[in-house]
Amino acid sequence: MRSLFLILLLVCTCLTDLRADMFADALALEKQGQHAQAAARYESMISQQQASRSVLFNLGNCYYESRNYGKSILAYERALLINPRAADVRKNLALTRKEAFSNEVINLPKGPLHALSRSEWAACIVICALVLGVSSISAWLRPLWRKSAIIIGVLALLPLAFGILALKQRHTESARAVVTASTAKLLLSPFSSADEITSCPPGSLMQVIRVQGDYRYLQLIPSNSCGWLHHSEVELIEK
Amino acid sequence: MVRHFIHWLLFSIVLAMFVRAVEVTATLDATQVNPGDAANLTFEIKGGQTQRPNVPNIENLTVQFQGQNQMVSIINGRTESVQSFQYIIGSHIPGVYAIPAITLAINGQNFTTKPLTLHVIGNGATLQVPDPKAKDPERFGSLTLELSTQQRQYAYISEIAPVIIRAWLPMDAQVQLRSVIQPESKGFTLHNVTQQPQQSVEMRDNKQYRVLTWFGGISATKAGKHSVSLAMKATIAVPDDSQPALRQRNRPSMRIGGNFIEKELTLSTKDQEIEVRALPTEGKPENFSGAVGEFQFDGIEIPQQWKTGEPQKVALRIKGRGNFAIMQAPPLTPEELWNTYPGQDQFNPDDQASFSGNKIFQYNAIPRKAGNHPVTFTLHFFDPDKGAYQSIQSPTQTITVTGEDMVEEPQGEARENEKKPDIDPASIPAPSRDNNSATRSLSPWHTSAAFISLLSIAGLLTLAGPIGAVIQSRVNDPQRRKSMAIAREIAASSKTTSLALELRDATSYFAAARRTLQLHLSAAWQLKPEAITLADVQVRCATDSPLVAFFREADRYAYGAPPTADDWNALDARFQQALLSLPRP
Repeated sequence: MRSLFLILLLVCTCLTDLRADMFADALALEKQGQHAQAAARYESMISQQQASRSVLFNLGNCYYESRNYGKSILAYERALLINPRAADVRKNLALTRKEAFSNEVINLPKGPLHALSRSEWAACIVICALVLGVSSISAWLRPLWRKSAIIIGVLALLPLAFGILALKQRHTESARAVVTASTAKLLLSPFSSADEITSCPPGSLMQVIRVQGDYRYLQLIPSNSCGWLHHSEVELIEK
Repeated sequence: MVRHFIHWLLFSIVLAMFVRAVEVTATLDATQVNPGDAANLTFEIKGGQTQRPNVPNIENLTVQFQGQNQMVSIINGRTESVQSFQYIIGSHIPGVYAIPAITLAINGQNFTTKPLTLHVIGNGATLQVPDPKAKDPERFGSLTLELSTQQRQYAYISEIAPVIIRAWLPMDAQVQLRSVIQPESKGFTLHNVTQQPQQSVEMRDNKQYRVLTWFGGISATKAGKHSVSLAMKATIAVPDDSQPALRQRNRPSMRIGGNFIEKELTLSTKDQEIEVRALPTEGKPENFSGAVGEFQFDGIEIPQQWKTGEPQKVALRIKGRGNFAIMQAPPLTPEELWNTYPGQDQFNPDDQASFSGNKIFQYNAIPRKAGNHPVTFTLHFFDPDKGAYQSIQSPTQTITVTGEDMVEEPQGEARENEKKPDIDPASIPAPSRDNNSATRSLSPWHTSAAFISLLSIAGLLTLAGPIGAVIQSRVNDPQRRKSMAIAREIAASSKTTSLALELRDATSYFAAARRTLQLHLSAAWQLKPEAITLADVQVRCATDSPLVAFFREADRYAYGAPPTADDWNALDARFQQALLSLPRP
């Protein structure tokens, strides 16, 4: 048992070191001005399930420097998924949107329900629900602790309710996407020779409504224009 | 030797009693039928089993296997097994059809059926069987395209022509549509085709068809003469005319047998040539909206009071017929007075093909100069019927703008030509240098199984608390515990009473019986059992109450002579009466 634990610890240490090495390599390339290669390194880290706020933020910067505004905005939006409070990510995102002349999100969502990411709200719900459960059991098994347990349980209800409300209100975020192609045009019908409705600058924020074959039916935020884009021109923010 | 022969004979007789000889028969339920009617051919095998008989092909005779069954019965100790195979046979051509004898192998031996004859007698008219070699081009159905309005001989790019698309499918066909309707030719686009087609039954060329109808619009994407055709993939199965179905004689409307021919094919409309003209460049307005059709303003909303630099929402509705989808929002005029921003639009169709309807535009506008200004919306569109660009204006409204005039900003091309300022590196935070942040998934955690599991555990814990508390309070209820203790004591003392009665132990009997009654009375009167005496019973009960009588007897025998053998029965009866007369708690 002890040897198994030691082996696991060794593997985790190696993986952590490997991850740190990959990040350092990518950062070094970025500093040398080789943004495309650095971006490729960051992308490979993400494909190996090593996405973190720092990796996504740096990736966004690399794409920004390469004038690939669509992918830059996508990387920043993904960084905000992990930490919506990151001021540097929000600032860079606003700058990139302005540079891309993309549809402005009138305001990045604000308010208490957007203060945490959806994963953080989910964790909050689970913690509050567990606290509620433990309080309930304590109140039953330990009469001396009953009053305190009830108070703690009631206090846990408030963030639990907030969390449920936040997840419910923000459920449409699963279908948000960003235009990554440099010359995407919203089409009337799901095939290449269809009439064009409007052009979508790279980085435009969209809401996916449905999927048909290789095409996605989307709504542009905030103008609400609807149309079809090929799946290669747009990418979902959440994976 | 004689003995052996007798044994063998007896054995054979016994065997024959229990095992029947194999019998094979072939029968027709009718030897004479009309053309197109079916007769039932049955092969029956008794006392054995075999494979399905192979009926040979006979020209112009349809033979179709319907099924087999097996019946085993035991009658008077004898087992009988009957296996049967059913076929339907018939023909649409009158004649005499001979079904030959068929040999079946059963239990290692060959058995042959008798030959049969079927007479197909017509009513003097020969049935017309379709020549299977004649090809009907529309045997599997067809697709047609019709323009639903009177059209000129040409169309313009982006003009939408409303069309009706119909699929004509044979009534007896089985159809699966495999794709949506798409243009086969590359120069055309389909618009707003209805999702669910209308269904109807129609006659064409003396044939009945099931017709599916879609409504939509079609427009051309490039100028020139083009053939337009539409196509749709489907799997269609039609009855095989070379082997038409037969009718059951007792139910002529029921058809049995017959094959289907199934094909995966593409239904296409016939090519229709249309001349497509490009929109003229002469006279094209600068702010041409892109719309082709016929339109008019249906309503506008502009606030009357404005302030320079402050945005307000304006709205307008345009109705008409044509290509609404590519219509841009008409600008406010005079344009130099306004800064406008992209807004929202919504189209409300009036017909199934979304060819006519109205479109609502809403967007924000900021006035730049103070004063009283006449404002209007201007829409430029191309009218294909007139062949010219049209400009329409909404009714002019005068608005009042207060505040300071806004400073001129470079507009349009001037802004585009302006050199973009170099990115100030100080305005972009440097990338993170330490990867301190933990790895995260890009899928939200609440979609994972771990979240559901933990939430379920928390839910169970939350429920377990109050449920456990309720159960515990019921179990620990003092009143309940007291009642249960009394009930246990009553049961014990009743048992002792019965035992003492059997042993004729007067002391134990009266003590246990008194105790039993005291326990019952303590529950009813909320007194301690030991405190209940004859005096209490006399006070609370009637003088002639069986309870009083038994307590008196108990005291008498406690302080007097023990009861005799005859007294015991009476005493027990009194005790039972006393129990019955106990007051309820």
